[in-house]
Amino acid sequence: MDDPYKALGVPKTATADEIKKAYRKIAKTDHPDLNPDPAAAERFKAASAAYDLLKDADQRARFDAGEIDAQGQERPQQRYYRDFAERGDNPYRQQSSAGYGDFSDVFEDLFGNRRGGSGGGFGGGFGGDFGGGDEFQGFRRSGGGGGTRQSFDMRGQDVRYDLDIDFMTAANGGTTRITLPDGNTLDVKIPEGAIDGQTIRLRGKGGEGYGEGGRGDAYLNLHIGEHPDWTRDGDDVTITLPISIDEAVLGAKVEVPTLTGKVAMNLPKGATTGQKLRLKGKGIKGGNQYVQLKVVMPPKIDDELAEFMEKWRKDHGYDPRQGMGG
Amino acid sequence: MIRVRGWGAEMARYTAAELIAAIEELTEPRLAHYVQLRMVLPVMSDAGESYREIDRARVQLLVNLTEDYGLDGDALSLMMSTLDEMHGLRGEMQALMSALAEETDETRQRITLRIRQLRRPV
Repeated sequence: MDDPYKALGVPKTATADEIKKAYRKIAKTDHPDLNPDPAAAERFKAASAAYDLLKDADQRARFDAGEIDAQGQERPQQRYYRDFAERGDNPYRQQSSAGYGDFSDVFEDLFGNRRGGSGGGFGGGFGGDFGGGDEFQGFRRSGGGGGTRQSFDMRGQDVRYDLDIDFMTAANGGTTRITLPDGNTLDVKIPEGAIDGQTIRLRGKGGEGYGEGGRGDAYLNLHIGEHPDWTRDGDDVTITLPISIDEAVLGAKVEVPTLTGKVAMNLPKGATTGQKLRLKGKGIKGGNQYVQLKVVMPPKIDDELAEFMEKWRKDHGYDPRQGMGG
Repeated sequence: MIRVRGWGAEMARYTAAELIAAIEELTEPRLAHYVQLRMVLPVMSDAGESYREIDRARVQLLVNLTEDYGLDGDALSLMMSTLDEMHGLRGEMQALMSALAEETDETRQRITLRIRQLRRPV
């Protein structure tokens, strides 16, 4: 973009209001989320950069005075909704699909799971908001014996939410307090050993029903946070345990945190970084806990230690890199 | 702040205040309105709500649709589910095209022909 006024199609004398109007007009027709034409995306990008420069009266004055140019004013590459929505895991598209677990895309048909009729594979996604697909089981028409009065009862929409939980809550189970968009606060029970991507169903916490239809359900999709000290593989957990050099050399009895409190553990003589020790049954639901050792130097190497090492090295030097390629 | 795998991993998370600051013309009541309509679904946790990049982009679009087209309520909801479907289908179409591009010429010609037959007006 060389000339921001040209990008917006306004004269240099345009008022702030006219500039804003011009920008909004381009946004309206050329927004990449609404207009798939690449040329439109370019126009929108240029107009956005121009608007960012000109909307600020100070910046505009400096540009008009030739103190700054329009280069380098482009926005940091901002991603449009389209960039996310085209992905297979767009949570908002699954949201609109009919019923939980019924998320279907066009590829379902490729694997022989054909539904009757043409275009059946497309039915699930869009129908959700209208109770399409399997949701039809959830509503009934009632009344209307003579066709004079009909009421429409339909179960409310199921809603999916994403829920962050921390590592320990997932491992040990517990409750987490959330506030739903309707303002209701509730305590959600997280089962012991909950895994990433697991879904928790909250019966009757979804959208309101129509007529006499009951509320839909809410589904919480769990995302397990990382922990600085712990990692997890299924029901096995691993903690990284820092040990001192004297403990590493001489062996020791140390306290190790487990998911449920501390236990004592014997370190063998000559323990080394990366070595894994097992605490049987101390993982999740009878899984194992592994203790991965990490030898940590003292905060300061004092003279005594340095002298000892000098002396020791003379007769006992060893090469831990022996046999390495490169 | 919790770092999570999957959606939005390694990406910024916004608080409601940060989101409002990041999006021109987004106000607190308007964000609350979108959330209440379930037009945007923040990630929940016991530390409160947070917004992912996809939510940021979606709210930006919601604001544009409200500002530029006067859409709200059911009309906005319909528009968003249509856009989600369209974007999703476009993504699937691209994946399908990439997969087909890896096939042999003979296979691609056969499929092209078959598609023409299926799309021919009756």
